[in-house]
Amino acid sequence: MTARKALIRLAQSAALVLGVVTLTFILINLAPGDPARLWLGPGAGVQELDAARQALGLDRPLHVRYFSWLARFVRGDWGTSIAQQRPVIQIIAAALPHTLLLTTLSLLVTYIGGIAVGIFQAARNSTKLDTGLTILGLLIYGMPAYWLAITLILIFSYGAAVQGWPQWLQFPALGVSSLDAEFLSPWENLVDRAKHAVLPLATLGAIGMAGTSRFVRASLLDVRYLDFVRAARAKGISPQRIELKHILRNALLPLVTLLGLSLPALFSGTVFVEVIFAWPGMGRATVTSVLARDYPVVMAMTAIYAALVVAGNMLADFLYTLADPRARSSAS
Amino acid sequence: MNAFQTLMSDRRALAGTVLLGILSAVAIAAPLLTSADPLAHGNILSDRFTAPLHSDGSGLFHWLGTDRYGRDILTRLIYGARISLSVGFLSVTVSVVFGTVIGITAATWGGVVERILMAFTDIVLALPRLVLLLVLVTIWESSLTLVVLVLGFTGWMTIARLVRAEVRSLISKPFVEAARAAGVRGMRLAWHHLVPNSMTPVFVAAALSVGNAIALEAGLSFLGLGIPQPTPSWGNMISAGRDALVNAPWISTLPGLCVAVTVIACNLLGDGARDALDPRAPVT
Repeated sequence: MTARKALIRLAQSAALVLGVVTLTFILINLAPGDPARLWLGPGAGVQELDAARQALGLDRPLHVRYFSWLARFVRGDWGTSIAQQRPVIQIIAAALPHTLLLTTLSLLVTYIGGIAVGIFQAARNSTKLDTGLTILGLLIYGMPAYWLAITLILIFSYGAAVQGWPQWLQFPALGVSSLDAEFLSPWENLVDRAKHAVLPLATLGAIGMAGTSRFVRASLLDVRYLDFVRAARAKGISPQRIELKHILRNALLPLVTLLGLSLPALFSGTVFVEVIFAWPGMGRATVTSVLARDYPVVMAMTAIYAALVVAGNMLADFLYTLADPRARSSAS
Repeated sequence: MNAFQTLMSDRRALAGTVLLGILSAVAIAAPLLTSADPLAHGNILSDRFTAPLHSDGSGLFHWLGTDRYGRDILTRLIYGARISLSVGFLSVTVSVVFGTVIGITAATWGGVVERILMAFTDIVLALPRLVLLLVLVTIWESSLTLVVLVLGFTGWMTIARLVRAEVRSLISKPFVEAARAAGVRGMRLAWHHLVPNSMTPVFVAAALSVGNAIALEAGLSFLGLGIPQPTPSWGNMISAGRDALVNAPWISTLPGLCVAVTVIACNLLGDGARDALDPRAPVT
């Protein structure tokens, strides 16, 4: 990718994020609900409401509000949460790392696990094991994330405790660490945190793996019968080399694009998982602020989500040009 | 073979269609299948939390148990199928109609119109659907209509892109040129020649998104933002059973299973349709 192309791409991405926040701003401000009334509660009088509207800037026309909001937003002044009365930046700074940790780890599980299972299935194509794994994958892929999460809690938090399963098979259902985390040694603390991450990760990872392995298996079987593989065989290239260099590499290329496309769905999934496991990330914060009509926070959240999705897509494009020489030559 | 026979020759498409057929039949025939009222509370103290395959305190037998108000789970699941399936099919219909209109307008008008429409599509796509749903659902009072509309208007983007790509490739085909030469223009060209010939990938995408819509409705209801109680939808049943998860796990798990089965049926149909109707798509 040349520098100019990269710059254009960056500008397009910025425009996309701007589009998203504009759309959200319009939607939120057309909403019939009155944030001032929500802020003050049902007992507020007319004068108090007017004062609150003035304080929140709700008495000015829409386009004035939009541009003044945008000017502040771009400069990094994201305002104060109506419900929590603290800067939006603080809320995001507290939530974002938890979500990034969860999504990055679940992407790793999804891709490493999914590719491994897909390769295994393609190698055992049409055996009973392959069919069994395909059906299992289909089942998991069809499960709503929140339902899988509840089921895992039922088994590994509640069931495991009641049945007296060994300690390493019992996992906590809530939060990122135990209440007594501060009193644990650094090592125990790490173990405690890791154990808290197991069930949320298992939920997102299992669903992601089911999708990825299905794709990898199909892609491998597809590439195996293409002409260039036959040509490589005819030339007498060793089977291992054909498997790795010719088949696997070409079959896994589309996964890079899939990575970018799967991000919105992954973030949707984390919303449920964070709510159920009380994981203090962006998803939980979004749900809380949406329910409280805490519009400054909602606006910031949508901007961050859009930026993450767009950045993920740019990363996927970049990786694709690295992985595929054809994309490189056509881009330069 | 016509398109339907081709479709049914695929085992997965057949399985998916049969499953969806059974579910729809159950939903339609709900009053015939169960005489119980899905909304009426029984004698709460004696009937609540009856385990599956047991009789409650009033001596009534329940195949799948009762919930915290003593309502029969099987009855609520059957009536819930009505809500969940309607939400799925109706919202995808909204998506397909809206997405097709956007896609075909973009492809046939070209120029600035196309740029603006596709930029709009990209903008809506850049936001995780659930976040967009959350914002939309809280703006208005939640109701069945709202859930259908909101799901419909957050699911049209892929359809619009598919239709645009398909129509653009169709426009240069000889049969379209012939139609144009014969004086077919505008809406008539779009409706009679372009739309019917671009529907195969749309059908595949629609089948897959019905499952997705049903799961999302359940998700919204689960967060307390979907179909309001006491109307039974699978989602708000999962949500309602969450408090009693430990003592009465059947209340949450059974509707979840229904969602999973429906989603799987839709995925089977969609995957099968892709392979049977679209020879270029990769084999799965």
